[in-house]
Amino acid sequence: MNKLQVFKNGLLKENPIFVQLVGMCSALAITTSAFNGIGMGFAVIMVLVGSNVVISALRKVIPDEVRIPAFVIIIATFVTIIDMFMHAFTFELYQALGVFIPLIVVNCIILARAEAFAFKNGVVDSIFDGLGMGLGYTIAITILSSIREILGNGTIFGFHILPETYEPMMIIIQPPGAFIALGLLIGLVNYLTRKQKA
Amino acid sequence: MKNNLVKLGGILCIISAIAAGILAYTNNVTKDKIALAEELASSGPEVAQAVIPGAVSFELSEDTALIEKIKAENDKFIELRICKDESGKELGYGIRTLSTVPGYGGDIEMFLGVSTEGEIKGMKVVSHSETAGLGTKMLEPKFQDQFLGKDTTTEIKVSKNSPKEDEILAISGATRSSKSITSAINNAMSIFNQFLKK
Repeated sequence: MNKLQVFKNGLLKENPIFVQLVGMCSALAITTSAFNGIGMGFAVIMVLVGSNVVISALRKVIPDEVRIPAFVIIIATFVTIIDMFMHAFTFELYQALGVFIPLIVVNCIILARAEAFAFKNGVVDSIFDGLGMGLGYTIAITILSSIREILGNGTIFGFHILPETYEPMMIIIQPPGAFIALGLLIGLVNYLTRKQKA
Repeated sequence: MKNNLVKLGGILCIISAIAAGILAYTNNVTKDKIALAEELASSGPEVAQAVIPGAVSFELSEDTALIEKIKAENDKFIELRICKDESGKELGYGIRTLSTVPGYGGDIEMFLGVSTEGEIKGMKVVSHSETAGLGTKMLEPKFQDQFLGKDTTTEIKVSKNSPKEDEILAISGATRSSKSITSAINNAMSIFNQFLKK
């Protein structure tokens, strides 16, 4: 498979959030502000690329029977490293994302890519796959969190863009709003991609 | 069969050992930075400035007898800091306390700045788990400025509309967060009245 194609796959055609519907937990919980969305996306890209590289490099060493525990150890190691670095260097973001950084371990995007791609493909392909899937995830949750921040708070990246008279829609920022906004977005993406095919 | 078990276990063991080594190294690199970031976020110069404008030094009180006494009487009290300006003049106290009424996501921990005369000068929330975009509005000046200039002798109440002299306006949609932060402020004020007032 062509490397560009591997990369582009994750962006729209197999977008983890909009098409595969994996990694929903973090996507619903932290998308209350656009800044959180980008920060979380960045952390996931780092973990995904790291674990993809290591797993694909070790794919001939790790026996089939114990591959899942091996994946979990490798993924957990990367998540813990990212967790420590974010704690040390981006303290405010670390506080905002809270428990969802350690929870990247159980974000199924990462285990899914390890099992479905990295364990069967070369290191370079796996890097592109990790970047594509990670970016697809980041774009999806950034769009979702921007919509929620604009409608629910009248701001984007903390800047007021809607007039003061705008009464924010509280429900959008609350948990039910995450489901509503995500559902509508998935519908929109489905509508657009189907139209393309026809 | 037995051989295979040893082999599989051995491989997992090696992977775990390498992961542990990497994590130990990362921890070593980041632990000082994390401690520094935590320290800055909870008691750095920015916090001092927010607690009492003009304060440059923000030292823990050395009056251990007094601290022990406050701790024995008030179990939400955490620490007492003395705020001084550049010339070393005492401006007031930074009283660190938990809320007595839990917010939406547990207790709110904050500093309340009280001048030596008993007037609220500022505040800084150190940690909280309120809903992003709703409860977190308590961090904005628009909400916090309501408390400034209030006298410590009268307890502050929360009102949902048209607040009177000893009341503040709750954040719409986040009454519990508003009540929780107000309870922390009231607790700090009562500590001031009971132990620090001259």
